[in-house]
Amino acid sequence: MRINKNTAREVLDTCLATGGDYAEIYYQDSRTHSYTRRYRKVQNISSARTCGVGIRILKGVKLVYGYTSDLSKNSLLKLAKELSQGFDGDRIMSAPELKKKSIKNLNKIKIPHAAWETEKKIAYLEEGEKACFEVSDQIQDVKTGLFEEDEHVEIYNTEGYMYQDDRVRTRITILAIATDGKQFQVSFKGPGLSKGLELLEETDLVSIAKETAHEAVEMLTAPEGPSGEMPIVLGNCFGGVLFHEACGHPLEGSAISKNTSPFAGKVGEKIASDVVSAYDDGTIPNGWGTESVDDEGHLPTKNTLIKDGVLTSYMVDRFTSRRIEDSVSTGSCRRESYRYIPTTRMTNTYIGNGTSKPEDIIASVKDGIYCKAFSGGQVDPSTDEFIFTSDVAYLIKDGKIDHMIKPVSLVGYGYEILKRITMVGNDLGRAPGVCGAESGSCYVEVGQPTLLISSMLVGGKGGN
Amino acid sequence: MRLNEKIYFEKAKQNGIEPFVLSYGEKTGISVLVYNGEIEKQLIGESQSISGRGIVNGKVGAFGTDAIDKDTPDFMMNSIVEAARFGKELSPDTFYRGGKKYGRVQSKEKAFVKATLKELREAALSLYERVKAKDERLTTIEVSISMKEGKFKKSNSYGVSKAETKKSYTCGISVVATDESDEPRSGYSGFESFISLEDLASKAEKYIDRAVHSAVDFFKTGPIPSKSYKAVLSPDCFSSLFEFCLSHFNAKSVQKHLSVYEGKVGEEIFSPCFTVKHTPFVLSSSSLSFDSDIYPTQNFTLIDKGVLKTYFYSVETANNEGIESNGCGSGDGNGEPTILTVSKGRSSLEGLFRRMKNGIYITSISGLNSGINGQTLDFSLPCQGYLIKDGKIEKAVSMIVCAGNLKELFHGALALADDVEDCGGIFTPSVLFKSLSISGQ
Repeated sequence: MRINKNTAREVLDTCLATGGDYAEIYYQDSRTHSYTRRYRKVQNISSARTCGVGIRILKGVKLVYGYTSDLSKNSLLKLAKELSQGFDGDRIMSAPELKKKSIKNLNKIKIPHAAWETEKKIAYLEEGEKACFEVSDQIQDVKTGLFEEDEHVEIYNTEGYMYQDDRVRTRITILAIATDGKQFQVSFKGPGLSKGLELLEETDLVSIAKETAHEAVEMLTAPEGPSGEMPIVLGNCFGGVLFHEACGHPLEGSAISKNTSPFAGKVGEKIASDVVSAYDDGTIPNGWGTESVDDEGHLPTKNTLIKDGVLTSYMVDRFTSRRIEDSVSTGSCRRESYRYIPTTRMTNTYIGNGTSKPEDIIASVKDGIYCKAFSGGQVDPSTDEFIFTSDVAYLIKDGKIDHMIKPVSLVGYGYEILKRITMVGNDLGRAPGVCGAESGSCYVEVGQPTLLISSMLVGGKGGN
Repeated sequence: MRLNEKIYFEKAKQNGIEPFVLSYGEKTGISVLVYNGEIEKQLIGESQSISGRGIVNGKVGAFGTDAIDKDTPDFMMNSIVEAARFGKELSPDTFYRGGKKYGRVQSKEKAFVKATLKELREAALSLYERVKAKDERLTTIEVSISMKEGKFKKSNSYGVSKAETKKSYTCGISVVATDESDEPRSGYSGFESFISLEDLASKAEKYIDRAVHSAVDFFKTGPIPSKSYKAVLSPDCFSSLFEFCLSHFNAKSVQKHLSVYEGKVGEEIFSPCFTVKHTPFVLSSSSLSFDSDIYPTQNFTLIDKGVLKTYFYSVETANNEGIESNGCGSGDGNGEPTILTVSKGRSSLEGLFRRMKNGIYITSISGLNSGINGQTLDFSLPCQGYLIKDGKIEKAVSMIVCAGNLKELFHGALALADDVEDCGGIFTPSVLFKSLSISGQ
């Protein structure tokens, strides 16, 4: 442990001087390396280190939080004292002796980031770049990237425990830019997992690169998409961004605890069609959103959010649980760094497999859109109004995929869309993403099988 | 500033890193959040950060961290040397050698009144009461106030060195309104143009109204028929869209043939009603007298009556064209503005409505993180606002999507209002456009 056990206890005890009923120290030391090729050469190799401490004190449904990058004992004690002065009151407890608690490592890695020389990593990226350019003369530029993170986290809390977790993540990114001289079109892929460099060995970069380049080129001649209400088939993997945005965020404790979610108080009620079951599973080995312990010292769980259309659970952390009756932590407390107050966040969130074949789902649609890939989305958790953009989309005509269209936006209310899911495929897939919210940017997986939504509002440029 | 810079420059020299630039910053901040009448969260933060960038054997490397201790200089130099082994080739001339005068930023330093955490708590509770009194349908109210202070300094091995201090307040008001007849509606407004808590109290009314109205006005509203409408975009909405064009004015994008405005200097790219100036010295929390290259920032015209006059240059991209930088260096040779000011029009917002006669007034746009293609500038975004009939607001509208292409949209502007607001680095008024495609019913 990087903070002396006695110092940690003294800091925690100082935190409790004015009536706090819980305090914790969060220590983070994260090192990142980024390798980028662009314009057919190495564009950037950079490294960064983020290291500091965040201290949180809870007193009922109130909290104070402070952070510092000065890790000296004096600095930590000074911060703890300042924070404790945020409350008025008398001490109700003292910090107990701290014991280290062992946790199961969910993200075992095979090849550490240091195992490959930089030359080898760059050569790997160059292969992907080359494959993109080989697809067409219309590829104007290719940006390939490798992101590595090695993060060490420690948590000390007034429950008397110390935890530590080493989090290793690797992600490959490919961005292809195509042009016909009049316009630019882009396509992106970005596989990533909580793994070491074995991810690179397990990934068929050339195939992914070619697919990315093909999509960018195809988009140059794709007509604009239509607008208005119509049936939508969402492709698997990153199609799960719909559930993440429209349902995942409103099921987070931060929205539920303040009754600002349309799903607040609805556990046990039917909120989705019968074919929908959904999960937030922080226990998936090597999942992009998996951490062996959450940022306040709770173990991750496989949390069934919706079972056969019925709301069964929320995602909850220690603080938000204090406003939610009969709730306990689901191991979902996360933050981008020590500078952020942690709160409930998703981990690996997905809709479970159904029984339909993907081809049968497409065949069931006379006129609609097949959204194969997505560039992200956004939701207002209080109203559940969401938007997400499909950047690889095709028109469906008479039950068959007809032709690609330019990117379209899909908008709606999450609670309505859940009820309009009429078919769920058997091809569950998951994909990595970065989710920005109250406690900063967190690594999350989204996922789902192919599924059919009977009607959604589409905002394409091509009109009705 | 607590850092011993000398040791970094000595280590850089010893490691063959020449030229070398060092950036160092210290930040402190306090903030409070009031939730439904109670202080729910209080935050105290302080952090330092340091980064170095330099050339080794003709190639560039960089490293940054907020962990500063006795080992940091060596760790930084080793990281830079390793990164530079494979870094891009870079001329030493891309590091600014000095000689130009720096302009003077209109500072609010002297007038800035610092607050304690206790004073912040009292101000936030007071603001909460004012919001609550506005409408009894407000069921959730959150008010946050933050005060931040930052000091930062950049120095390079050519002897150029410049430091600045920034102090700022920010305030955010979030509401959720509930009406038995409809689903809850949420509203938000944020602002930062105040220099003391007293100043905040005097300026808050407009922003309180904005947050409240963006929720309560939208009960029992819905979409309007899908078609093209004349449209007025509020300053906030226009600046959100305009921001996406800025990377296309980056000289590096232009030189790499990735800008939609490549080769357009001297041509009309926006409607003639637009004049856009780079104004880095105006009174704002974003103002700065030097850029990432430590080159002096400067006033210049980006777009004059719709005609593009120049791009955003760093020392590197300016050297590539044999010209002088215009002080827009933003790191790694890229260029971006410090502050832009869109020249205001003559008419009031109501005057724009009268000129538009029938159309839509967009007051909120969402989905900006995914609904705009930054390369093509195609957009498709959910929005809400008000239907304008015979020059007056007729009703609120929601659940609509506006779509189009920013290049085409900005070319089709008809007029600007005189209601200029500081929208986080872009000062702009409301803008009337001749056509905006709306998907609704």
